[in-house]
This record gives sequence, structure tokens and C-alpha cells, in this order.
Amino acid sequence: MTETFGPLSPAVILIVAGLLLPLLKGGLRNGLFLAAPVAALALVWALPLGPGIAIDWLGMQLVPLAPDRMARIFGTAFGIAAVTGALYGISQSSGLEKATALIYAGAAQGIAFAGDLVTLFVFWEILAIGSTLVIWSNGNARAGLRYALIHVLGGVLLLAGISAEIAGAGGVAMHPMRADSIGRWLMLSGILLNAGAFPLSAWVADAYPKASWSGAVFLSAFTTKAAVLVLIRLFPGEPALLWIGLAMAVYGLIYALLENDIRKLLSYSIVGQVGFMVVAVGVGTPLALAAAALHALAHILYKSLLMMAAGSILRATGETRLSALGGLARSMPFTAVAMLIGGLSLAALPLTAGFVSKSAILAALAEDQARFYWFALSAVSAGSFLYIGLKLPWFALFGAPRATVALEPATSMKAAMGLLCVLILGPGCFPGWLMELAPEIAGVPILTIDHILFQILMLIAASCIFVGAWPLLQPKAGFTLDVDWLWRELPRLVVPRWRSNLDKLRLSLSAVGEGLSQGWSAFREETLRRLTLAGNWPTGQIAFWATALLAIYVLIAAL
Amino acid sequence: MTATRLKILLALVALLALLVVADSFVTHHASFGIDGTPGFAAWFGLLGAAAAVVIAYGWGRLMRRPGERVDD
Amino acid sequence: MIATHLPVLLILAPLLGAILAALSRNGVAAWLIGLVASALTAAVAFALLWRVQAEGVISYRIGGWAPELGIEYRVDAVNAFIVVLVGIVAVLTMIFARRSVLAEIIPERVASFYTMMLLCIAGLLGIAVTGDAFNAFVFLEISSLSTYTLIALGRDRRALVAAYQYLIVGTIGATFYVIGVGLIYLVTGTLNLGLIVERLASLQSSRGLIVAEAFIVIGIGLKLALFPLHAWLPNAYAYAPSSAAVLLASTATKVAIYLLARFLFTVFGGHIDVGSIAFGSLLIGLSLAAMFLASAAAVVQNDIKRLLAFSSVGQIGYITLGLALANPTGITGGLLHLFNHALMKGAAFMAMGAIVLRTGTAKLDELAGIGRVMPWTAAALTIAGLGLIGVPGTSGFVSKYYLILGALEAGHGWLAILIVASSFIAVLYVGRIVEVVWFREPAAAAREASEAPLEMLLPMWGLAGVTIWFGVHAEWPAGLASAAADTLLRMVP
Repeated sequence: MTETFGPLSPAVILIVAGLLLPLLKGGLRNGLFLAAPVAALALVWALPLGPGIAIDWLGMQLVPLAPDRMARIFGTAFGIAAVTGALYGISQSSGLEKATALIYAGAAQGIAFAGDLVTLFVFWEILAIGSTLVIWSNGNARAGLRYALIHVLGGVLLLAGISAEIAGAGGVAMHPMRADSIGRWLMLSGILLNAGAFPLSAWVADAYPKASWSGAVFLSAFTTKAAVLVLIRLFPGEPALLWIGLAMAVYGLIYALLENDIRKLLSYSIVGQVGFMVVAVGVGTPLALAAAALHALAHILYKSLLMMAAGSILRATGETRLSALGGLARSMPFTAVAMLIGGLSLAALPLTAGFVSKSAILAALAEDQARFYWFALSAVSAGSFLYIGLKLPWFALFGAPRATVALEPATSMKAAMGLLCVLILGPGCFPGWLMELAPEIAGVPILTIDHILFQILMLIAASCIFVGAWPLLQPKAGFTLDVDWLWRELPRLVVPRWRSNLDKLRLSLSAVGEGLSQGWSAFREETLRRLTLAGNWPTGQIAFWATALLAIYVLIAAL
Repeated sequence: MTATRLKILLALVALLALLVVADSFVTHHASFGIDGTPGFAAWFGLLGAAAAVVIAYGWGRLMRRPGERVDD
Repeated sequence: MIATHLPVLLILAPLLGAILAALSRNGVAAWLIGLVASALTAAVAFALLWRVQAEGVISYRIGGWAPELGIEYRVDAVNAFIVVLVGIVAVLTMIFARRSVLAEIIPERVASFYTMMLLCIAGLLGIAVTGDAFNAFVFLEISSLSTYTLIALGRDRRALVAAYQYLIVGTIGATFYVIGVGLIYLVTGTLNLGLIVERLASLQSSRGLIVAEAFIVIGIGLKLALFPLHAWLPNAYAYAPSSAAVLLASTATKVAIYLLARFLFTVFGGHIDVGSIAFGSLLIGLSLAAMFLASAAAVVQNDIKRLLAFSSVGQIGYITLGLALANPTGITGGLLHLFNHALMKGAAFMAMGAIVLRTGTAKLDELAGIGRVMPWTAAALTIAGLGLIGVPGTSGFVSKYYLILGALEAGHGWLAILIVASSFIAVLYVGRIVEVVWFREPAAAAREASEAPLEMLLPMWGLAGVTIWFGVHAEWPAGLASAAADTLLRMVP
């Protein structure tokens, strides 16, 4: 049945569309920008579940398209993110961002449907390139470079791990494994780097806020969740993931609570929420894996919505710092509602999609009797409400207006946000829809009285703390130091000091140094000149080389 | 503490208390025992959120820096 | 009846075509003749390949004379592979050539241009099919002389200098070759490659043979632009008429490489160990130098045709590296890269031909933003560039993959690393083109241009398409290359 679609895959549709996009103009370009994600999403559902097509390529059994249920859940999530993201960003003027966003979304679909490690790696790299270009298209070259470098590192780790796996007996097939050898540890760390795992999580909050108002929507959806899917496929039940995930959840919570910039806050929050998924993958039971997948789906929905709201605010006011915003509920009511719905879904308010998926994760922990992680994540969950459901709306939407709203969100942007609101509230009210996607969660109590009451109590308790500790939670301009200090600040501090010590030495050596540097620059110019004119050798020189080689040849052979 | 905030806080605490009372009338399906006791979510939520605020505040005192990063 | 005469038909078709084209004196007629002759050649080439695959080696005696006296054409898996490559490129180049020749060659010389193209094709095919060392020299001269003329027909006055330099260098090469063949004749008393092999087997002293080998390898090395004997190539390709550059870049050096492989493995293979430290390391060293230095020179070029020419020298390094590895996988990789590189470099030179036609320049800085007005041409150029880098999904990746496997098989892990490392230089020069062509604001030349005509786009995309196609479905060319490698190493009779 899969054969009916031939080589067509959601990834191919999006990537080809992304490559064609620069060739088109105006309405045609926007049309393709919207149509390709819709077609890809439709194909995600049209592809019948099955083992997929295996092709023999250079002696390896590749399965570029393996539609199983996990692929369908993530394909749906990525598909919805691409459709709504495209609708939201259609008024974006940067053609480069649109094209690369499609390629980026296509790579995520490719990872969702990859049935072997080689295909996975190829799309992994396309994903890195696409996302880098999305960041780059907004003009911040340095941040883009940092992002690219860290993902090159991730790619190299993954490649090394995959090579070791293939060279060992593992082969190219995707199968559950434990991190029990150096190669597999390399693979795991490459994947975790993309998931934003602590301690290499700083790139998320560094890079995503550097994208444009529309670019950040795409960025928030794909990279980290694609990594979660790969963890589900390769490392289910890996014990290390439990504490790594918890560290991510705590890190995300603390840093988001301290953050002043809305989009940075949302980025930290991505790390925190992905931490929930990583813990679930670490549990590894079928219920836990399904819960992780559903949480990824729900998270993509509400985080896209939140990023869209943040993007609308940025586009309207040119500002995303909470300390410089306020009172937007009155001037941007639609955006305010969207931000509230997104935030409440993240905080797992009953009747939202986030409530369903977070309940499933906690139920999976309970089923596995992972007592410590259950209590820890419940506490983190209560804490999350502080920043997303209270701090963010409180300072951005209410209070005295501090920034002027110059631009109302375009109709297309409102449509995208409205669509996401429906998609968040729909499954929230009717969890049965999600159970069809992942039948494993059928036994989880969701909309039962005691469970709803439990969650409401939790949220009100957090609200009490928020109001009580209000002065401590005032957003303050500035930034919080992170692990990336090591490569962003440390060199700046060390190098000058080192330099000053060297200065004396340099003075004494200056004569030599000058001579060296002159020699070097002369050498450089000479090399460049030689390379440029390399084709203009006089004929005699060629003849000389021919004779010389002849002599060398005979000499070598005679010896 | 301003008057408005105090009023809001009191209202929230009252609401919380009311719901805790309601909580003792429903049947719980506990996974670890203690999480099935009435009002568990209330005090656990209070503790969890308070812990988050305290840790974040302390971390902020240590790690929060004014201004922008040099290379942003 | 015809089937038995296929080897000679292969030469006769372009040769007769050349004569007819010369007689016609009319540009349009000459082009038509060229097209028909090259199409016929391609058909015969495929028929030959098919027969070789079905029946094994074909031996054809010209005029029925036995090898000792007469000339034998001998087609096996190796030359069938080369002949098919030349056939494909020849016919696509002819389709491509019409518009570009109209614009670049003065009308009175159009007929002679096609004559020279056909002569060159005939010469190259002759080198490929002949089983006679001296006959190969004759065909080498036919192809070389026509090449000098083709280059000299270029519009740029520097074309004359380039042609003159190539003439001198090519003559030195041919002389070296013929000296080598003469030495072999002294030792063995025959010019037939098959008989030479037989008689060498019983030879006691190998001193004369070493000198013969040296002359032949260096002579052919000049023709195939083996680093550092490559210096004639960049100017020749850059200033030759666009369609001639396509033909030369895709076939001329490739046939020379074939001849080198034939001598190294079939003729001397039984006597001198090619994989031996002495010779293998020299060839590996020169190949590496080409891969790194010539590619580095490509990075700093401003004329894209010159850039592509330097890239060719670098890519030839990969091919000779494969041969120097002297194991089945390595040679398969080398021959496969020969095939794939011919196709993608053909596409790249066709794209440049179309760009020169539309804008009149091949300078990188004047072609900023050309991708906006000539998207299809620029896209073909980009695909070819990706192939040169060896991006997965292009044929360039497959051949480099085999080369890396070959290097690992030979126990040279460091060579595998160097192959990957040198690919990054290709990223640089291809990246420069891509950046300028797609991401810059259109320059004056780009604003006035328009997309290339369909008759140029079709052959260009044919080659760009197979670059992708063979990147995904590598079985056919890899099978041919692997059979050829086995034949060279005599793993099959």
C-alpha cells in the first residue's frame, strides 16, 4: 500500500517546495508556502501504517519512509505546526525565511518517518541547516553562527555514534538500545544536544529569540521535539534520561521564572517541557512513550500559539521585554486571549490539550511507581504555572501600557492563532481524539472529578504563592548566566589578561614577530597570487615538470 | 503589600480552602498513598510553587546580571 | 551483419560525419550532420555495451588482418563503459551546441567547428576501442589536433595562446607516448596490446620496460592533466568555445585516464606491480596534491569557467587516486568518479555556456543574482556543484563513497580522511558560486539577461538530472564501473 505513493513523502513535498519557493514570486510564492504544508499533513494521514519501503543503497538497507504510529503522531504535530506557522508567517516579507522554514519543516517530517540511522542523519543535518538559515535570515549573524557551531557539534557526535553502530554489529536499523558503549553514548549525546538537554541547553534561549517574529514560531516546534522522537525510537527506558529530563525541567522552570524577555522565557520553557518528555522516555513503558509523544504534540500546539502571540507583540510594538510592556489586553485583545489559552494549556488547565498529555505522563510515572520523579515533576508543574499562567499575562497583558501598539496582527496571523486555540481546546474537551492517536493512554483518568479538582487546587495554590511573593517575581532587565558563559564570556575575560601578560614578552620579541608577520603576509600574498595565476604557467614550466616527473619515475622504478 | 494584592490573596486562599473542603468529599485514586489524601494538591502546590520561587530568587541573586550580553 | 562491424562503425560514424560536415560548408547542415552522426555513435556505443555484457570481449580485425600485422579493435567491459560515456556526452553536446555556436563562432567557421567536434569525438572513441598501441597514438593525434583547433576557435584572443600552449604540451605528451611505445616495440616486437601482454610475461629483464612505462605514463599524464602537468588545462577550458569546453571537460581527459588505466593494469599490470610502494605512492601523492592544491586554486578564481577547470584538475585527482589504490573497490570508485564527474562537469559547463550566451560574461562578480533571472540554469549549475562536493543524494557522493571504501580496504585510513577533508575545499568554491548566483542582488549583467533557451536547458538538465538520479540509483553505473575494474585487474577473463 505504501508503494502507491512512490517516493512521495511529507519530507520530500516540503523540501522540494522550499527549494522551489525562491523561484516564485508574489501570490504564487505564498500559495505554495501554504499549500505544501497542507499537502504534507494530508499525506501524513494518507500513508498507510506499515513497515515502509526498504531500499538497498550501497549495501545498506535503508527505510526512508517508515510510517508507524509514532511517525504519525509526530508527523501530525509537525504538520500542524507547519500549516499554522505558514499561515501565521504568510505576511513575512523575507523569502529566504519562508523557503528555509519549509525545508526545516520537511527535515522534521523526514526524521519523523525515518526508518534507519542513515536517513535519520541526512534529515538531521538538513534540519540543522534549515533552522540555522531561519535564524540567519533575520540578520543576526553571530547568534546564527553560534547556533550552527553547536549543531555541527551535535551532528558530529551523532555521526560518530551512528558510524560506530554500523561498524559494530548494530547495522543501520533503528531499534531500541541502551547507552552501553562509547558509540551509543556519542549517539545519545548528539540527540540530547538537539533536545536542549542540560548542560548544553543554553543554545535554545540564545538562538530562538534571535529569529524574526514569524521564524521563532517554526523554531519552537521542530528541533527539540524531533530529538524527543528519536529518543523514543532509540533509547526508550534509558535510565540516564530520567535525571537528565528532570534537570531540564528544573532548569527550564528556574530560568523562565527569572527571564524578562517573552521569547527567551518561552525558549527556556521549551527546555522545561521537553524535560517532561525526556523523563517519560526514560521510564520507557508503552504508556510512558505514548504520553511523551502526546505531550510533544500538545506542546507543539501551545508553544506555537504562545510564540505566535509573542511574535504579534514584537511585530506590533517592537518590544518583547516584560519590563517594557503592559496593558496589552486592552490594545491587543485577540493576542491576549491566545496567550492566555496557550499559557493555561502549558500549565495543564483541565479542558486543554496540555492537561491530557501531562496527566498521561504523570500517570505513566505512577504506573511505574517512579515516586521521586512523580513528586518532582508535579512540583515543577505547579511552578510552571507561575511563569506562564501568571507572570507572563500579568506583566504583559495587564497593568499600565508602556509600549505603543503600532500594528494590529494581520488577519492571517489571527486565523493561525484561532486555529491553534481550537486545536488546543478541542482535544482538551474531548480527550477521546487523542486516545485514538495513542490508544495506550485509554486507561488514564483525565476528566474525572478528583483529577480535575487535584489540578485546580494545584493551580490556585500556585496563584496564592504568586500573589504573595509578587515582589520577588518582578521582571528585571538583564540576563541570567548560563553554561554558555563558558564559550561566550570566558574567552573575552581570559584572552585580554593573557594578552597583557604576553605584552612584555611580545615587546621583546616584537622585532622577530614583525619579521614573522611580514614574512607571513608576504607568503600569504604570494600564495594567493600563485593560486590565482596557477593556470598561467609558462609552457616551459610544464615541460620542466614533465621531464622532472619522468626522471623521478624512472628513479623510483629503478630503485 | 498593597491593599488590592492583600484582597486578591485572601480571596484566593478562601477559594483554596473551599475547594479543599470539596476535595474531601470525592473519592481519590491514589498512586502513592499520600497523594490521595484530601487537600494534598493544595499544600503540595503551595510548597512546590514556593520552592520554585525561592530557588529562582536565590539563583537570580547569584546569576542574574544587568544589561545585555556583549555579543547579542 | 552490422552487429559484427559495430567497433569500426563507432569510429566511422563521426569520421564520415566530419568529412560530410567539412564538405557541406553550411552551418545548419553541418550541425544536422553532427547531430545525426553523434546520435548514431551513441546508439552504436550502447549496442556495443549491450553486446559486451551479453557475449564478453569483442575482437574486431580491421580488414581481416591478424593482430601481428593488422590492427585489432578490442572492446571489453572497460572501454564499453568509456565509449558509452563519450556517446552520451557527444550527442547532448551537439544538441546544446547550436545556439551557443551561433553566438560564439563567426558564421564562415561554423561548419569547420562541427567538423572538428566530430573529428575529436572520432579520435577519442578510437583511443578507447583500439587494441593497438600505435593506432592509439594516431587517434590521440587526431583528437589532439582537432582539440587545438577547437580551442583556437574561441572568441577571446587569449584562446589562441591557450591553444598554442596546449599544442606544445600536447605534442610533448604525444612524443613521450610514442617514445614509450617505441621502446615497448623494441622489447616485444609487436604493437598489439594483447600480444605485448603475452610476450612481456616471458621477458627476463625489465629495465627497458621501466623506461617505456615512465614515458607512457608521463605522456598520458600530460594529456589527462595529472598534477603538476595540468597547467595547460585551465586556460584551454576557459577560453575554448562553450560547447567545445563541454565536450573536452567531459570526455578528453577521461579517455586519457582510460588509456592510462589500460597501460597500467592490462599491459604493465602483469609485470610491474602498480600497487607497489614505488609507483603507487607517487601517483597517490600527485593525486592528493591535485585534490588539495588545484581545488584551492579553484577557490580563488573569479572566472567561473576557470574555476570549474581547476575543479576538474582536482577531481581528476580523485580518479587517479582510485586507480592508484589498485584494489577492486578503489578502481571502481575511480572509474565511477570518472563517469559521474564527466556528467556533472558537463552540466556545469553547459550552464556556464548558457550564462555566457545570455550575459556575455563568466566573471563571478558580474554574475551576481543571475539565479533570479536564469533560475533553471543556475539550479543546474548548483546541482552540478553539489555533485562536485559529493553531497549525499548526488552521484558524486556515491563515487567518493567507493573511493573511501577502497582507501579503507587498502589499509589507508588517513587517505579516507583526506578524501573527506578535500571535499570541504569543494564546499568553498561551490559555496562561492551559490552565494553570488542566488543570494546577491542582481548585477547589471543579470538584470538584462533572460532564461536560457529550451534546447540548451534540455541537455543541461539531462546531465544535472542524471547527477541526482545516479546519486539515488547508483546500481547501473556502479555495476559498469565494477565490471570494468574487475576486467582491469583480470579478475574475469
